[in-house]
Amino acid sequence: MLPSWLQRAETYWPARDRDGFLDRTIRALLHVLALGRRRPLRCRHDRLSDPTCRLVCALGFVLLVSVARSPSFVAVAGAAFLVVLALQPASRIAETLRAAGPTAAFTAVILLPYALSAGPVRPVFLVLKVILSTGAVALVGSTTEWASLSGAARRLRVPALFLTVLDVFIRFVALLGEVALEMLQAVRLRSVGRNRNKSAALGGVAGSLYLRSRELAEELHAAMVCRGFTGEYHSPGPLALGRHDAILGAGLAALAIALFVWPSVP
Amino acid sequence: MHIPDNYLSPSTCAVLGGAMFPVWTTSIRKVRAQVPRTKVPLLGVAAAFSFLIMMFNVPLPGGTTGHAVGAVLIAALLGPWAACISVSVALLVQALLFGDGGILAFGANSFNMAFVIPFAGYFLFDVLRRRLPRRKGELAALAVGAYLGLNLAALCAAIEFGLQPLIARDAAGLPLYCPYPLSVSVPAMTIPHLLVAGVVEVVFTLGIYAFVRRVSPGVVQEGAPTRMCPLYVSLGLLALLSPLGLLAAGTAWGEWGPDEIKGVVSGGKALGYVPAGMEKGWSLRVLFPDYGVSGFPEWFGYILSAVVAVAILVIVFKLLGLARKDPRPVH
Repeated sequence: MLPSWLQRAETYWPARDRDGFLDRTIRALLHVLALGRRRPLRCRHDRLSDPTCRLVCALGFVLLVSVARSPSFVAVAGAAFLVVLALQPASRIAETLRAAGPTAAFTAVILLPYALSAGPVRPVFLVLKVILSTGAVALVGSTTEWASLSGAARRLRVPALFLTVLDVFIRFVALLGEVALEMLQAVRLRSVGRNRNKSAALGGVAGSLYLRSRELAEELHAAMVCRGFTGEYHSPGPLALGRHDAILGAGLAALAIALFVWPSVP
Repeated sequence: MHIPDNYLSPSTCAVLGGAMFPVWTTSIRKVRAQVPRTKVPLLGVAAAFSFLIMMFNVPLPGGTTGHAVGAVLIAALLGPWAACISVSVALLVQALLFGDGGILAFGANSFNMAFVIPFAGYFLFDVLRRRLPRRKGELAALAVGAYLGLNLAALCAAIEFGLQPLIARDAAGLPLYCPYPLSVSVPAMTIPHLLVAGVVEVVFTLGIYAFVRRVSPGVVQEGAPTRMCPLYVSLGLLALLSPLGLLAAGTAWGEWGPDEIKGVVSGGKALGYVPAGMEKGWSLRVLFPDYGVSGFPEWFGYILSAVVAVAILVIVFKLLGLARKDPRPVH
């Protein structure tokens, strides 16, 4: 015979709670984690050019576009960028445009009052410069793995401490993101009905995250020392420049000549 | 054959644009069904070929210039529906970036060059190919299709021009838009195309068709290898050679600017006025007006325009291929 309380129909309905903040935080963390886990799309042409050369050419391109005062030069630089972009696989083109598009749109919105008062020519020129600069950097990011990029940066004499911080940062963003995600999901699952102490729980998440990051940092440092890390990044082997590097270099040199030979081109 | 803005009345533009709308939607549906996702970038390469071919202006009898279009070539390689889309996109890039062909007249230009040429030319090519088997018969059919397709489009453009004086006149009885009647426009457009431009179209069509069949047979035959590298290299070479189109002096018939048309001599008499619709007409400021870049020599601007357009067309169709989902197989 079942007791009477067990025979009663279940009538408990948890009160609705507002989880907007928690949901948004979880979604943002998932997005960051997805970015951290993403690997550059591989293409057989990537191996044909040296990452250092790619990085130098991209930085040189950004520099030339930034100092250019002539719309005609920007048109030439835009043509060069479009050619490089057109030779990439479709998914990489989309990724590059996704990176450059919002920045360009934001710049266009900021420049809208100027365009309304002084005409569209100069704002379009500035927006094009933004698209080219961010697009070039995004293209290098999508063609080169972080390990190759840090190797290229080391070859360019970027201080080892700076690279260590960047390396650790990139790894920790993913690791701590996962820890934070697990804790936030735990808070959400345990909040049956209306939970008025969620903000206190979030404070706990932040504190736990800090403690966890300290533990991870100590473990990481110990592991690196055990493996013989002395604070020095070894420079990768000699540059292996090929035909594609020569084409990239020649293109950049031609752009530099165009900028300095025709400085007065309107 | 690129009709600029203000040469056709708004009603003509609306009718031809409206006529093209179902053609574009059907083309998109047919291409989705017939062209696999991996082959969509080829539409971009085809559009780029068409764009570059149109840059090679040739001098025509009567002091004007003309050009080939390459639409039957694309139709023979990828089908008429794909050719319609490729040539339409090439025309849109020409209108938006280079001011070649009007924005309001985009529907009319698409009707002539992206509908009449590929469909009429491909129909002739297909009919003749069945009756003339073997390789030489196929090439002869292609030549006839390309020649007649282009000339039919020139005739259509001439009729569109020639109808304007009948459609729209101002209070003084002068034409508001294109001032030349059918008796002037039809011979002025068709004779030079029959004599020269049609032949140029045949040369480009046969040359590129044979080249594509040899270096990348997969474009034409199922199962054969499709190699993109030689196609990109040939696009680059065509872009470098595009300034040859500048050697042809003069303006194409029906493409004069408002400042030029007053002095255009027809039947031994200068026009002597600017039609009101052209004088106060709408015009778009473009990035590369007349395929030029200010401050650079004309030939350099031409190459730069060709490179920019080719890259944009290839990028656009690669992205379309990425966005497209292949239909699920039916079990």
